[in-house]
Amino acid sequence: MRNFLKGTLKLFLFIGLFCVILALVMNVLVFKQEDGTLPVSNYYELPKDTVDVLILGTSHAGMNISTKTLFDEYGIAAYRFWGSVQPIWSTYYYLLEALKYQTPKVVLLDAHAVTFAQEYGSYPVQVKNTIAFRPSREKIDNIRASVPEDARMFMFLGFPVYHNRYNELTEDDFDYMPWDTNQGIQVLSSETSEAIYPFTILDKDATSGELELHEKEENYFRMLLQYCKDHDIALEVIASPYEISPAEQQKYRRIASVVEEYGYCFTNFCESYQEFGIDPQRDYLDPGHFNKTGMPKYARALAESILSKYDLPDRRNDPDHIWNQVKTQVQEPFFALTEQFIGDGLQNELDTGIRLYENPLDSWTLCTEFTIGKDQSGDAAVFSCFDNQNGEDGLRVMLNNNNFIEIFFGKTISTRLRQSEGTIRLGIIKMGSHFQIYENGELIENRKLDSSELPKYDGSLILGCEQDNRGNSKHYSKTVISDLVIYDTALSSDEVLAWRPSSLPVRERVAYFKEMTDDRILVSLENRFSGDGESYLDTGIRLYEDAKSSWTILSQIDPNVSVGDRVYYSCFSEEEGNYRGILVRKLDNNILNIVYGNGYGLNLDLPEAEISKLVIMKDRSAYTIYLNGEKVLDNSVVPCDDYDGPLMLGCERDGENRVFRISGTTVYNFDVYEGILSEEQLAQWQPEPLQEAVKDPGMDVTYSLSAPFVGNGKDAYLDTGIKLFDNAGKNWRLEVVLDQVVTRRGTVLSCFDENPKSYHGLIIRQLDDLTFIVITGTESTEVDISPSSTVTLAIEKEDSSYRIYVDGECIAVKESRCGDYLGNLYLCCERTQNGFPFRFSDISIRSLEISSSVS
Amino acid sequence: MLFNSFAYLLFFPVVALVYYLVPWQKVRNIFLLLASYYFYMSWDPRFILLMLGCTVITYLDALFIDFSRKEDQENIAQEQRRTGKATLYTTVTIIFTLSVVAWFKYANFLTESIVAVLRAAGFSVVIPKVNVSLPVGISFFTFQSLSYVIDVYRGTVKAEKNFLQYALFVSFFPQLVAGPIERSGNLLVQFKEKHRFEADRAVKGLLLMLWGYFMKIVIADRVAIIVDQVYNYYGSYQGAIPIFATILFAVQIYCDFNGYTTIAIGSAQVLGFSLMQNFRQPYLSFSVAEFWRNWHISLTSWFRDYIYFPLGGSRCSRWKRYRNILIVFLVSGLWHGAAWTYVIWGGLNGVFQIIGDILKPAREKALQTLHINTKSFGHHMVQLLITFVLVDFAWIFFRAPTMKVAFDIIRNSFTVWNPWVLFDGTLYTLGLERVDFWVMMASLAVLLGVDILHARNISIRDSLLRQPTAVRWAVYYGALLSILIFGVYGPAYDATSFIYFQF
Repeated sequence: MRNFLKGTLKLFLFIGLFCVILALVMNVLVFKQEDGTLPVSNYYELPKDTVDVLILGTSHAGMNISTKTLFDEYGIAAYRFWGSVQPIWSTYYYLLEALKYQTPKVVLLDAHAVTFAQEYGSYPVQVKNTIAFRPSREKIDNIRASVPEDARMFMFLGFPVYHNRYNELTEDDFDYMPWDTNQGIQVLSSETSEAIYPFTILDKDATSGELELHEKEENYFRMLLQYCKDHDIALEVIASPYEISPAEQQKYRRIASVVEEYGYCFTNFCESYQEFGIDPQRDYLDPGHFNKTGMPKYARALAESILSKYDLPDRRNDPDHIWNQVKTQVQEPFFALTEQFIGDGLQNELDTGIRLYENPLDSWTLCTEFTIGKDQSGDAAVFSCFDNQNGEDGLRVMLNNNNFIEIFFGKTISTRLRQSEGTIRLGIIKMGSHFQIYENGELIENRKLDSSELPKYDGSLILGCEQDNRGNSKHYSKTVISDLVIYDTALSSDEVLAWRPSSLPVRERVAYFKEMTDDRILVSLENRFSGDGESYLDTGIRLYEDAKSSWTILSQIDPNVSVGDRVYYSCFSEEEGNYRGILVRKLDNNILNIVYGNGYGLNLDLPEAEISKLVIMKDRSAYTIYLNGEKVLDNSVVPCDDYDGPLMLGCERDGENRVFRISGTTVYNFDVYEGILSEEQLAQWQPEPLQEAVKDPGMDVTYSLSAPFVGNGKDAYLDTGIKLFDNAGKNWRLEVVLDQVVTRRGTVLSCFDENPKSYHGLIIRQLDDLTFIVITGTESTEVDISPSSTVTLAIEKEDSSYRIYVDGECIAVKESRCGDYLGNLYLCCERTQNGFPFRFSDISIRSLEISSSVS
Repeated sequence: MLFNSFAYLLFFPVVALVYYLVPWQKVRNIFLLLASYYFYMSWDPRFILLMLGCTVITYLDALFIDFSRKEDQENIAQEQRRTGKATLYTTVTIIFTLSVVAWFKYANFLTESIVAVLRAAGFSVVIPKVNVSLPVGISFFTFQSLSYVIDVYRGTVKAEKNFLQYALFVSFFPQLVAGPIERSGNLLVQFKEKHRFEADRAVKGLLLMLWGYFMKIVIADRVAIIVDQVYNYYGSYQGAIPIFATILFAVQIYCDFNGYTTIAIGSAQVLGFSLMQNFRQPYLSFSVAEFWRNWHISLTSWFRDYIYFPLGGSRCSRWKRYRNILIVFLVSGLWHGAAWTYVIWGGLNGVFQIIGDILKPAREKALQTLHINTKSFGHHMVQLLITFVLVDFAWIFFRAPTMKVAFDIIRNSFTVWNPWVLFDGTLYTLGLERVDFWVMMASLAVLLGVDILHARNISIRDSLLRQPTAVRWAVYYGALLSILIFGVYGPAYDATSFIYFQF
C-alpha cells in the first residue's frame, strides 16, 4: 500500500511538473498576433473594471478606432477586443467572454461582419478568432461555431496548431511569459502608418432598399442583440467608413432595421464621414482601414457620439488607472537622431518632419541633450516647432537677447531654463494639455494648459533654427544637439529621468564661410563650393529684404556642370507672377543666364574651359554686371519688390519657398559686400581659386560576412557597421552571393539615405525569381539573372561611376554623383529616414565581401 | 483510429486502466475483445463482419482439422494424416481466405492486367471496375488466421477451443491493422495467463511507445515532406536531389512502419503482453538476405514458413532454390500492393539475393586474393553501403506510383551531375525550412545512434531505468516535448495513415 501511494504521488508529481513545463513552452510558441490573439490574451491581464468602452468586431473596429486618441483626448478607457475578419459568431462569443472579466459601460460593435455570407472563415481567421480564449464553455461554443468538425479538437487544444512555430520565434515570443503582464494594451502598429490609399466612398443614395443577410450571420447577430437586451447592456452598433460595395450598402440598411427591432441604434459612418472631416483621398492606408491621419478623426467622431449619450469617467485624472500605467511600456521612439546635429549659426538646420502640434491634444515626449556654443549671442533657436505667423505658438527652445534660454510650449507660454550655457539635458512630457519639463533631471515646469492655451500648428520640428511667418529659416544657432528622441506618447517622469543620450556619430562639416573681420563683407567663401546635385549652401544673407539696398557680389564660376541643375547662386523668388531677386544660372549652349530685379534677364556667352569672374553690383535699383572684367550691363535700373529669402549657392527656391534645382555647379570664390565697390576695388579682386575642403576619407570598408545570413521577412537584419558613403568619393567593391534565389524576395542589402531631399546610396532588392533592382547613387538599374538557385552580384564604385556585375559579367555601368551618407550597410532590410529598420526580407545571403580596392 | 490520433491517446489509457481494474482474466479478455472490435470499427463498422466471418471460419476449420486428425489417427498411418479430411478443410479455408483478400485487394489489379494483355494482343475488352474499398489491415489478420490454421494442420499447435480467446488473438488491437503478424504459439497462449500490473513493464512499454511516436511523427512524417515533394514533382528534380529523396524514403518507410509496430509492441507491453520483434536494425545489414531477415520479421518468417519451406526451401538444387526465392519475393511484392511496381520491387529483392549467391564464390576468391580482412570495419562498411544502395534502389519502385515514374526518376537521378545542390541551399527549398531541415538531420542522427546501440545489444531503456529519478524524468520530458514540438501533426498536417496500412 505504501508503495502504491508512493507510486501514485510520483505519477501525479510527474504529470504536474510536465504540465508546468508544457505551459511555459506553449506561452512561447503561441501566436502573438495583434489582429486576433493579443487583444484576447492582453485583455485577461487587465485589472477588473478598468474597461469603460468595449470595442468589438473585425479589423474595422480593431484597426480603425484609435483607443489612444479616445484616452489622450477624452479620457475614455476603451479596449479593442477584436480579430481579423472576425465572423459575427466569434464576436458574439467574444462579447460573452469579455463580460466575464469586465463590466464595460458601453459596448461598441462594428457590424461589418454581419454583411459577410459564409459558414466558416478561412483557416487563419478560424485560428485568430478562437485560439486565444481560455478554456471555457465560450471557447468550446466559439470553436463549434467557427471551425469545421474535423479541426475542432486541434483548435481547442491549441498546441497542435502552433507547435511548429519553433522556426519563426523572435525575441517578442519570449516577452509573454506568465510573469509578464499588461503589455501592448493600446498599441497597434498600423496607428503610425503613413501610407495613403485614395479612393471614393459610395454615395449613400447609390442604391436603394435592403438586402437579406446570410442566415448564419443574421442568427448570431440577433443572438448578440438579444443577449445585450436581456442583460441591459448599452450597445452602439456602428459601421466604420470604408470602400463599401452596393450590396453591403443594402445590407447595412437591413442591419439598421434589425438593430432597431431590439431598440438599439445603428450609426453608419459610411454615410456621414464627411461631417467628421474624414477624407478618403488622404486618410486611408487601404480600402478598409485608416492611416495615421484618419484614425484620430474617426475616434473623435465616436468619442463625441458616445459622450453625448453616456456619462463616462475621464480616466486621465486617475493616475492609478491601468491605461495611465501601461500605455508607455512598449513604446519605441517615434523619431530619433541618427547623428549629432551641429548648428553653425549660419545655415545648418535639420527638418525632422515631426509635427508636434498638428493635434493640440496629442501626447508626446521629447528628450534631448544639447550644448550651446560659447560664442553664441542672443536670438538663436536650438530647435523649434513654432508658429510665428499666427502668434507665438508651439515649442521653441531659444537663447534670447538677455542670454537666458527660454522654452515656449503653449500659446505665448514659456518658462526659463536654469542653466544658460554648457550642456543641458532636457525632457519635455506632453500628456494632452499637461506639460512637464525636466532640466538636467529636475522638474522645472509642471503645468496644465487650458484649451485656449494649446497651440495648433502644422509645421514640423526643426533643429538649429526657427522659421519665420513665410517659412524661411532664421535665428540659426551654434548648437550641438548630441541626441534627440521623440516618443509618440507621454512617458512617465521616471522614464524621462532615466533617459540618457546615445553616442551618436558626428559628421565633420566643412566650414564653407570665413569668419568675418571686415564689417562690409557680408559673406565670404572659405572653401570652394562644388555642388553634387544634393547639397547646397544657404548664406543666410537676405539681399532683397530691402529691395532698395546696395550690394556687390564677386564670384568665380566654373562653366562645367557635371550633374543635376545648373544654378550657380540665387536670392530669387519664383512666386508666380512676381519673379524677383537675382538668379545666376547656366543654360544650354554655354549661355550664362542672369535674372535680376523683377524678372529682367541677361544672356551671356560663357567662355569654355576657363574660370569666369562674375561681378554683380546693385546700387539701389541699378544693376551693373561684369563678366571676366568686361562690363556687360551698365547701370540698368529695374524695379524690384522686396523678397525675404536668403542668398543660396547651388540651388534656388520655388514660389512656396522650398529649395529646388539643387545643382552640380562649382563656385571657386564668392564674396558679398555691403554697398558698391569702386572700379579699382573690383580690379583688385583677383583671388586664387579656392581648393575643395579636405574631407575625411571615411572608414575602411573591408568586410567579410562571417557566416551566411538569412532574413525572416519580419524583423531579422544585420548591421554590418560599414559606411559605404561616409565619404561619397571613396571607392569600393562589394560582392554578395545569394542562395535560394527562386523562393526569396525583398531587400538584399541597403546603405541608403531615405531622406527625400538626398535620396541616394546603395540598395540591392530582389523583385521576382529572375529580376533584381540595384540602386547606385541615385540611379536605378533593373538586373535580370538566369534561372539558378544562386547568384553572385557585385558592385564596383569608382568615384561616381558604378559597374554592376552578375555572376562575373559586367551588365551595366552607371554614373551618379551624390553626397555623403553616414548610415551603415544593412542586410535584409532598409532604414527609414529616422534610422529605423523596415522593409525586412527573407533573403538568404551566403557571403558578402567588401574591399576598398577596385579591380 | 490511428495510433497518432487524439482518439487513440484517449482510448489507450482508458482501456489500460479498465483492463487492470477488472480482477477476472475472463472478463478482461471480453473487455479487450470489445475494445479491439471498437478499435477496428472506428475505421468502417461494416468490415467488422468480415473480420468476424474470417475468425469464425478459421476457428471452426481448426476445430474440424483437430477432430478429423483424431479420426484419421485411428484409421491411417501417421505419415498419411495430412491427406485426409484435414487437408481438405485446410485447403478450403486457405482458398476462401485468400479469395476474400483477392476480391478486396486484387480484383481490379487482375482485371486491369488482363485488359492490358488482351489489348496488347489486339482485343478490345472492357471489364468494369470492382467498386470496393480495402478493409484496413486485411492482409494482416487474414495471414495471422491462416498461419494458425496451417499450424493446427501441421500439428505444431492445438486448435483453440475457447472462441473468445481465439477471436481476441485475431483482433488484438495493438497489432490488428499493421502487425506484427503474430503466431498463435506466441500470442494466443498469453490470453490464458493473468497479467498483473507491473510498473517497470508499463514504463518500458510507454518508453517504447514514445520511441515509436518519435520515429513516426518526428522523423517519418517530416522526411515524407521532402520525399513527396520530389516524387510528386519528379520532372522538376534531377541528379542529386532525387537520389537524396530516395535515400530519405528508405528512412521514411523504416521509421513509419517500425514506428507503428514499436507503438504496437509498447501498447501490448503496457497491457502485459509480449509481441514479437518486427525490425532488427535492417539498414545495418551486410547483405540483402540479411536485410530481409531483419526487416518486417513477422511477415518474412511467415513467407519462409508457409511458402518457402513448402516449396523445398534451400534443401534442393541451386536453381530450384533460386526459383523459390524469386517466388517468395514476387508474392511478397504482391502482398505489399496490387500494382506491378510492387511486383518489380519484390522481384528485384529476390534477384539481388540470387545474384549475390551466384557471385559469392568469385567474391570470396577476390577477397582472399586481395588479402582483405572480412572482419574489418572498412569491409563491413562497404558491405553495409552496397546493401543499402541495392535495397534503396528497389525502394524507388515501391514509392513510385507507376513504372513510368520509377524509370523517369532513375533516369533523372543518373543523367545529371550536380552534387553541389546538396550544399547550395537547394535542400531548403524542398518543403522544409532551414530549421526544420536540421531538426530532421538531428533526429536522423538520433535514430542512427539508437540503432547502432541496439545492434551492439545495448538496451537504452534498461540503461535509462538505472539512472537517478532526476535524469530519467529529464529524459522523459525531453522526449515528450520533442515529440510535441517537433512532431509533424496538427490541422495543416494530413494524418492520413501509416504507409503499411494499405497492405
